[in-house]
Amino acid sequence: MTDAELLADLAGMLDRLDPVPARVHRAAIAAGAFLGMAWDWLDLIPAPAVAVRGDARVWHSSVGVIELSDGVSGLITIPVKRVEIHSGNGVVEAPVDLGGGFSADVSGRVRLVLHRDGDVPLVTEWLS
Amino acid sequence: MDTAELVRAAADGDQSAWRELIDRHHRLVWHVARSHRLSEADAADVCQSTWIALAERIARLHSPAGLPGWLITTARRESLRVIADRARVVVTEVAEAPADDETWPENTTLRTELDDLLWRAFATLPERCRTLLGLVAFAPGVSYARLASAIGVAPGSVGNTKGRCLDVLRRTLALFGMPEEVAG
Repeated sequence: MTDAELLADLAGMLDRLDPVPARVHRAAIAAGAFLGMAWDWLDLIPAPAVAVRGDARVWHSSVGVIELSDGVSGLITIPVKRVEIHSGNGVVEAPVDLGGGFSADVSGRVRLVLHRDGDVPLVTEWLS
Repeated sequence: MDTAELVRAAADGDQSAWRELIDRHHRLVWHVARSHRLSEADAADVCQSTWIALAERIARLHSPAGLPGWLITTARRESLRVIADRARVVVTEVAEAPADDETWPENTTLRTELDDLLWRAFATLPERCRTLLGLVAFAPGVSYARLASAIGVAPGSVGNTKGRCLDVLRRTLALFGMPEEVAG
């Protein structure tokens, strides 16, 4: 058995013993979702927050407000086709109601993408 | 496509190239995080940070072909950040692994006798050997300079250290009953 073969067996054993969780792979794919695409930053300003339970963080922006607590929620004041939430679990789409509200059961570090009609998406920084 | 070509294509917005880069290297990034004795949740955080950092800097990588080394350095730095943030103690011996982490590899069931032998032999190696061999197993072409930085030795001694570690691994495998033609 050559060194290269032994090392290949070692890599295989370590991978079988401790495989990369599927959600980690999905998050890696999501991290590159905007490579080469046209998009604009959505500038956010941290705002004081009072959590109903647990911790909460709130950001204001020119297009609405975003809250991160047990999940992600927000209120968008511009027309959007859909809101995507990128996280360590990959990407989920949050339905937006008629009043511009949305929420999703996503925790950890998140990034929001607001898909607008006839314009490039607005993308937040990674929030946690 | 080789790694450098994939890096350039991904930087230009080729999503299939980005996915191919991840498919080739996500086990390496995960291994680096887990080799710092991080839980699954913390290792997932390290992986996410590492891939986000790559997405943000991919167009400015000085050496696209050196991506595996860049990933090792970045994942290692992120692992140390998580450890510092959580004020955890880095446990350096396998026998001292946290008893309550049921997801840790040695607490899982091994699939084959060969895997069992390999794991038992690998686990007896000193920490530095485990780190070095784990890295070269997942990233065979990574530079000695990157490996030296990851394991804390001079670049000139990486080759000798790797050779000694492989030798000890082979002798331990033979001691545990692996046929000599396999153990070498």
